[in-house]
Amino acid sequence: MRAPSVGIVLIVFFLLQVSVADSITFARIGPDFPLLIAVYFAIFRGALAGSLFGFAVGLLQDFFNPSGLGLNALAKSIVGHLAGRMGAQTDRDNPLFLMAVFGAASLAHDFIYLLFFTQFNLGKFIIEWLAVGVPSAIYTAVAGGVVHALVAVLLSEAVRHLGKTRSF
Amino acid sequence: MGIFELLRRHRDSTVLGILVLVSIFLMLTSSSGRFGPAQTVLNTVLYPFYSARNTVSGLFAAREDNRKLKRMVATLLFEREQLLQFRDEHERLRRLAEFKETQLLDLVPCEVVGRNLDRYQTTLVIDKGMGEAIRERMPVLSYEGYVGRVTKVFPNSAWVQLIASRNNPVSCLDKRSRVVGMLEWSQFSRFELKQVSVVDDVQVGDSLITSGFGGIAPKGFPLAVVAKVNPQMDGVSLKVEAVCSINFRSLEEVFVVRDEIPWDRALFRDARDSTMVRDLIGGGQ
Repeated sequence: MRAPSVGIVLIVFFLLQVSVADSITFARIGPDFPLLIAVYFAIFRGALAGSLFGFAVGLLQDFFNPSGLGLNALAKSIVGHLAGRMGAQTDRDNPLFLMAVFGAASLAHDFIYLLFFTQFNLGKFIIEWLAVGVPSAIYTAVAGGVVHALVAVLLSEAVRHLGKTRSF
Repeated sequence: MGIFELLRRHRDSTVLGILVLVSIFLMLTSSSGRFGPAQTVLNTVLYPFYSARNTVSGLFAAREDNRKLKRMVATLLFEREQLLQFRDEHERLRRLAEFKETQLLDLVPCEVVGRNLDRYQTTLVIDKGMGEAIRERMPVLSYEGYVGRVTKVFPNSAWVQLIASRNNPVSCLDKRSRVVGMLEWSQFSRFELKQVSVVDDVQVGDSLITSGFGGIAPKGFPLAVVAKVNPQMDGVSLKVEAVCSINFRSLEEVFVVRDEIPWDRALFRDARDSTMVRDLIGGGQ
């Protein structure tokens, strides 16, 4: 199976975010496609690019709610940095590895985000993180892995079909 | 090794540190007013996608919505027809009930099916006759008041002589002063109140109602309104002119007073009325 290009997967994540993200979110538990964009980019482009890209993606998210400006930027820049480091050391095309990174990144992201969001109120933080952050991390990991695998399969099929067409 | 060399060697961590500091700075100093242009750009970029999503989801939902709407239209059309029928029935019942409640009369609703060929329009032909126990001299009412009496009965029809005709005087009562007189048609919609003396209290604007003294018209139904009051030449009586508000030419429905009945039997006394009410109540449950 051919590894999909990073750009295509990022576009798919973006399209999913603007199309179905709301529909597949239940009780605040849903896949974090912006996080997947930042993490996926970081895995394949390294820690420096990952932190910068994560910061940019987070800042765009924060523009929707400027009263919390910097929250997503902070969390995603850190997570992007960590994901870039992990991606440089392991098999990046392994879907299981990707899912593990997605899950861990989501947990870390929500950990950082909720710490500042709750203003270090540990009671609120723990409840939110356990009730929303952990299930959302699992959801995000599964969604990211499935999307990656689907894009890889579709891309391989497209390339194979294109090769057959050219052979004629 | 200088500081810059150290930062260059750990470039990734350095950049991350700067980004973290910038993020914290933004958190501490954030103000929504400064990011209007950025938000505008963001919205400009994302809005087409959101719009397209709504359009696509609308297309997918259109078939199901169309099916639901068709079913809803069919249901509403059926309900509308029922409501129109209920409205007509309610209107008829209300009018009937109002008459029966206030007047305690057994009324027979009749349709005006014709008029005599006299140009003065003095007689109506109604669609009820002996079959409905209509008898001569029975009083006839309209929604606005007393209009005449039955003069001729046939098996399935009857003739009604209007008060707006000669030789059909009606005993009446001044609703305010209770002065009694005889109301006779004069011309068009004008009437003359006779047998009123100069000492009687009759004023312009007084309402004249049936007195019930004549033995034909039941008491209390509107007849006309006093329009002019002048002393007669003889010096002992008044010349009183009154105007009737009923348009006798446009009467389409009238009620023959078949009998006076006790009030507890007046409401929906007819079996048909009771059936109609029972159906209405049953249909509303």
